[in-house]
Amino acid sequence: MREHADDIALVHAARSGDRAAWSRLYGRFAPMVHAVLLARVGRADADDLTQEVFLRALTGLGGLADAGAVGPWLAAIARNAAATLRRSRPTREVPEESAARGAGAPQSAEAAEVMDVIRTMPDAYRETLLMRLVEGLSGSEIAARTGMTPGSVRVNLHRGMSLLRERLGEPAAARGGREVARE
Amino acid sequence: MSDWRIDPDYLWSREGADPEVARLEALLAGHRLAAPVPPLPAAPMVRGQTVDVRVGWPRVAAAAAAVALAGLAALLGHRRGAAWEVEALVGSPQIGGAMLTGTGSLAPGEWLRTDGKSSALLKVADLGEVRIEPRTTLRIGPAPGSQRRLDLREGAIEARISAPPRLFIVDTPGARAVDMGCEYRLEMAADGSGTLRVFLGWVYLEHGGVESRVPMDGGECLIRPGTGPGTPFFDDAPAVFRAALASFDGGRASALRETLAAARTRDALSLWHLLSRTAGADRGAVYDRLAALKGVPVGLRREDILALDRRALDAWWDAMRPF
Repeated sequence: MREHADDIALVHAARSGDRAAWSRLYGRFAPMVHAVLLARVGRADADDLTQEVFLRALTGLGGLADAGAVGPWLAAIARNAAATLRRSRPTREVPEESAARGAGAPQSAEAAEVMDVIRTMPDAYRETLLMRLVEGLSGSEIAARTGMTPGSVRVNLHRGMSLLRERLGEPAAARGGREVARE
Repeated sequence: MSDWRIDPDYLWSREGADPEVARLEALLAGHRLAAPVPPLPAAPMVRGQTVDVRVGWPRVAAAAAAVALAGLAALLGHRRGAAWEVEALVGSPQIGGAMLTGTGSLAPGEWLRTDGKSSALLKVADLGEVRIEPRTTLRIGPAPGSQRRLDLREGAIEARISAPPRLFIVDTPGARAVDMGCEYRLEMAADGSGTLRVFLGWVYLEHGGVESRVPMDGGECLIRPGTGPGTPFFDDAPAVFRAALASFDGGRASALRETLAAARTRDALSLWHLLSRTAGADRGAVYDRLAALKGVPVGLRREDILALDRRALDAWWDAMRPF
């Protein structure tokens, strides 16, 4: 609850041009935004789109009536940005992950495989898993950033991890039919 | 990996040990965010002010600035009367009586209808998209400035909007849904009754001076023909609470006592709204129950809440979230 009050104060301060507040706002929410994007696009695109999301947030921050909902608002901007990018691409495969597989390095190929599997999972699981496994957010931090209850986050993490374990244990051919979940 | 048992404590907060989760963390660490903080404009931002963004980091400076400014132009300068792009997802929706296959456009004032076997996707400028479910009738309504408005006659839509708040509005016979940057589902029957479920962010429902703030993560609100939005509630509220609240909203004042008795801490969402839907001793009872569940912020006075002082109500609202 204290973090929620801090978010409101940071939004108000950033609106007034406080650069330190803006940096803190970015530091607090950029990992969450990045994970939402990674759930849908490759790493390079996710890095670029994170900037774009915060650029869009800049234009809209002055009109954000509910400062406490800044996290879910940023996440929605991120999903929309990823959807727009994917619609502009002729190929369905995430370009960076296919390049990692082609590069042949075992660890990068395995990471690409894990990311592929995560991207086929339902929204709630893949985003929450990426916030935890990639961005290093704890369960309580995920709840605070996204507005979900701790209970929902706990369920998403556990079920998501169980599903990930199950799918990683499948033969590659069995996994091949699943597409990255639609926006 | 088949023998791997997930350690819930490590998964939640890295307490304890789970070698497989730790291995995945190390494996995926290279995907972590590395991008720098975008610069903040020098001038203070006020509502409605346009922002001149000067981008200084190396990788996507020109592209990002162009996209941001184009997005701003779309938000603030979209041509009035412009049609919205619509895509047939299943079957053949109708626009103005003509069948739609593939993609087309919906002009302001034209009716879009889906039958029991068809659905469509409507692009809302640069604000997001709306999925039109089967058996739905709607049209684009007039809206001032940068606002975008739909008239939902009946049926169901799922909206995913990433705009600043209050730019996307859906009018129904029973209430106006004001988007606060979110995803939600709105279902309306022909008689003006309906249900709103919010998946992300917030939606404000307004009608005849009554406002209901509906949050994500289980937030719902019923719309009653002629009376507008009911009291919002969480879908995981106990059945006895939901039944008592519905009875109170339906006009049975005596149901208030049952509602208050059955309320959990999380149901403070509903009780906060009941402050303005009760009077006299009933309002005092709501205040006392809400104070017991959520506490009262320092400096907040009971008499200000009972007088429905706007600043006091909003201060308590901010203090008691997240629910």
